[in-house]
Amino acid sequence: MRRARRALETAGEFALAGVAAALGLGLLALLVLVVWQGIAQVGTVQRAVALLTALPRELEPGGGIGPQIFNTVFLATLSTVATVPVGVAAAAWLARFARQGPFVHAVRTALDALATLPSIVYGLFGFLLFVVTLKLGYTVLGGALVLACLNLPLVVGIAEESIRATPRELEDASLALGASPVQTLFRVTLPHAMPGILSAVVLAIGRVFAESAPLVYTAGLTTDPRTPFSLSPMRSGETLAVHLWYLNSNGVVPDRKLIAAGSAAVLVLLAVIVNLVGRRIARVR
Amino acid sequence: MTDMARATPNPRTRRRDALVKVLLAGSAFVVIAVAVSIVGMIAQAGLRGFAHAGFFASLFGLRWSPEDTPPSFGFLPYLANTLLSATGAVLMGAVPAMLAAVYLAEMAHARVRRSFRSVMEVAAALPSVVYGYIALTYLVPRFANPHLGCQGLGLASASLVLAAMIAPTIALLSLDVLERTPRELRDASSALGVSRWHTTWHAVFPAARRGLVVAGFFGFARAVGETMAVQMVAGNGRYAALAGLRPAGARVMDNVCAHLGPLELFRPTSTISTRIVMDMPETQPGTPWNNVLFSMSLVLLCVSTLVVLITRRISRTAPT
Repeated sequence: MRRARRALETAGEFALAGVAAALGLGLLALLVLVVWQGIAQVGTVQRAVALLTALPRELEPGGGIGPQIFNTVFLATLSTVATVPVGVAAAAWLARFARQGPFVHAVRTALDALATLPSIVYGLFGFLLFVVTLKLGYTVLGGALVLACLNLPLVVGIAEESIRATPRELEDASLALGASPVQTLFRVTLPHAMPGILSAVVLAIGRVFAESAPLVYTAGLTTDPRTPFSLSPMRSGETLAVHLWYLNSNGVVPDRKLIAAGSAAVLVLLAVIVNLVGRRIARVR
Repeated sequence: MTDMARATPNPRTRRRDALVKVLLAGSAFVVIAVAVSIVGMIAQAGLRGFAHAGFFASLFGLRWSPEDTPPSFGFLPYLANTLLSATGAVLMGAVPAMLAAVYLAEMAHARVRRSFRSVMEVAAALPSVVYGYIALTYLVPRFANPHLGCQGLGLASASLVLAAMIAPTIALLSLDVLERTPRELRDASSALGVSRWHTTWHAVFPAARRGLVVAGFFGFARAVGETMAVQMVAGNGRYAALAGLRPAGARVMDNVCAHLGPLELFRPTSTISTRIVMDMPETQPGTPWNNVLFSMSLVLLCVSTLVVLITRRISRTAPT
């Protein structure tokens, strides 16, 4: 009787191990498959360099994703520049200066609401605000600001947590030495919370790399071929993730399979790099 | 923060402190302003759509033919597809992810658990379009059946993509939940002489159950909101996957690729979010059709808010 139960439990553990292995190895296999297919389909180093730097073409083969990679980084920079000061300031206020009350409650409710909104809703909001109301057309700035809003709850959440994790004794020591609360915040609390804040920044950048739904109707699906690497935020600019979607759903370029495989591989590698950087920062803490 | 608000002697420092505090509170106010303007603008355009198309006629209407005269804006089939694909994703993605997390948290070696976490972290951060691309390239062709005229696009493909997409996030959340359950629970249980298996399911699992349910709801909310990956594999047809939701007089499909009871698995179809993305460039801002698209996003917003409220209710009453 007991032995039979023992055997059943062992079988159960094996079954669970099978599920875990299937999920872990399955997803790992997907990651490897995408990178490997990207390398295999691009084939040569020359083609890889051309793919990563050249302009995209609409009809003939040989195009690249240079502007898309540039736009992705550009948009991530703009979005981070917008989201981090506001997010960290709001977090600092919530963690150190706010008094419990209706205003704090409203901020928390707003953060919860922002965290739960589907990303397409952010995209539609950006479309309504920047394209319809302000008549700016599709702009990198619009896309970046929409993603900045999308990342706000993430940045505020992690920043607040790491600010709260700063030991009270350190701050009290600073205050006892005659520093003002704000001086203490900037000289003691924020430096101590910096690893946490930086990992929030890394996560936010990773989301900019990954998002597509909020960008289609804000940053747009095109890049002006005359000024592909322009630093103007008031132009349309397609990111790499959006381009991968475009290639698969509307693309007509004959070598779009190759370009899609290469783009997907770049996106996977970007996710891996972001993860490694984030881990590095977490270890510093 | 009374101890931080101790008076500082230097009036200039005090003035600067006051200014900085106002700026910090102002940033917190920006958060409120952003949330209010997003919900407000979507609601305004969405209510205009409902006012034009009729709340019940659109939310419970079965026919989507906006270019007809008079147009019909019934989007219940799309809402049903959204909920069905998300449910399928939770069944196929969340449940295995939770079982895997139970194994890794309770029975696996710590090193295995760390490697699993790394893979899940990268997989969770992957763009959803990469999942869509993988499915479109390697999965959909396997489902295709040219003899029946099936391309392999449809609700089943969408659901599978969503399952793969939410599984890593749910696995990570579940691992967190399980690792937060108190050590003493396991010690007390094994001190009674019961096996690891018994401890897992009778001591740890009951304590973690609510947390796991919350993780599942979180995955559901994410699946409801996902757009681009689903758009790539759902086929973008105007066809209700659920048999009962097709309008009277709809073209009867004689060749059925594969079905599960009243559910057609491989018929090009749409969810709310994919319909919005597909129709947005077809319409001019301010037209009824365009406004109804915003009504649909308002419904989407309400569904995900509802799911999160339910989740909150569950986690607030959690015993641990």
